[in-house]
Amino acid sequence: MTRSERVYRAMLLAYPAEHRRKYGDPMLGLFRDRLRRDGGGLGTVRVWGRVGPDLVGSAFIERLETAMNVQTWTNRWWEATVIVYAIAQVIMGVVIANNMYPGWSILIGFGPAALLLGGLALGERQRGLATLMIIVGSLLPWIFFWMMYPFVVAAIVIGGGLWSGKIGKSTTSEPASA
Amino acid sequence: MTEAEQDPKDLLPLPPAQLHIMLALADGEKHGYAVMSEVEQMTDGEVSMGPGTLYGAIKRMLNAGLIEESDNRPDPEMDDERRRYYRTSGFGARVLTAELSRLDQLIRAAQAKQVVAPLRPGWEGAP
Repeated sequence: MTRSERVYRAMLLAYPAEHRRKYGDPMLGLFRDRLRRDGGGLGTVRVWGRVGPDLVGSAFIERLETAMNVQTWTNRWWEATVIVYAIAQVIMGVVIANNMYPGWSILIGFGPAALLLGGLALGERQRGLATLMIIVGSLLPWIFFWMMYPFVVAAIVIGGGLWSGKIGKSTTSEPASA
Repeated sequence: MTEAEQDPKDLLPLPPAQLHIMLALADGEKHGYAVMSEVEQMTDGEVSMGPGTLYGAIKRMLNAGLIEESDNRPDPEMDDERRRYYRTSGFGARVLTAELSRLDQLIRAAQAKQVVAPLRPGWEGAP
């Protein structure tokens, strides 16, 4: 492979991965054929003079087309949602670790975040496992919240009662005198 | 909607790169380099497509069903097996005919207004 071919092959990185996978080899082959026909000395410079702008322009169009693709955006929104949820879990983990029990921060914060990001990283390679990790990572904090829910309700009821003075004081007053 | 149901006129006008590729493939299947060379020959070197433009157009034409990838190798011994061959589909042939008719009509209109002279003495346009 000549130096020009190596440079052209590296420049193919400008195209989206899907386009590169399908057409990278034929494009490189076409460039090679063109070099064989027109290359050598100034000819090589002329080939680059035509192929360089062609590569920049067409790579821009392919990137733009990929960016405008509805499916790509759906995937990106989905990925963004999972990432934002994972970040929220990390923040929750830090808050819980600082203010409550560190053990809870793993179950509610850091653990689910790790599952969410791990599932996202696995992606299409192990779709089943990735889906399971994202579902568990999404539900885990809520399961623990629901487990805590009766205690939270009890705390609110008791706290509210104490604050309003309905608990701890007798609600039935004895008549001052019989 | 299948290609049989789709109206060829829905795809008109064809982008110049796609029209040139369709014309290059009109007389048989070819690989990318042969298409590029034929387009240069057809246009006396006026149109020279780089690999990016050529394969970008080929991708869109495959998606639109205008062309198909062929598994045939005219001479596998003499040919690079990584080369991909393309041919016009039935739908693509109908689109090409519709596009050439449209261009023919346009040339006739230009001639009627005496914007351009007849291209060749006795030339009556596409049948």
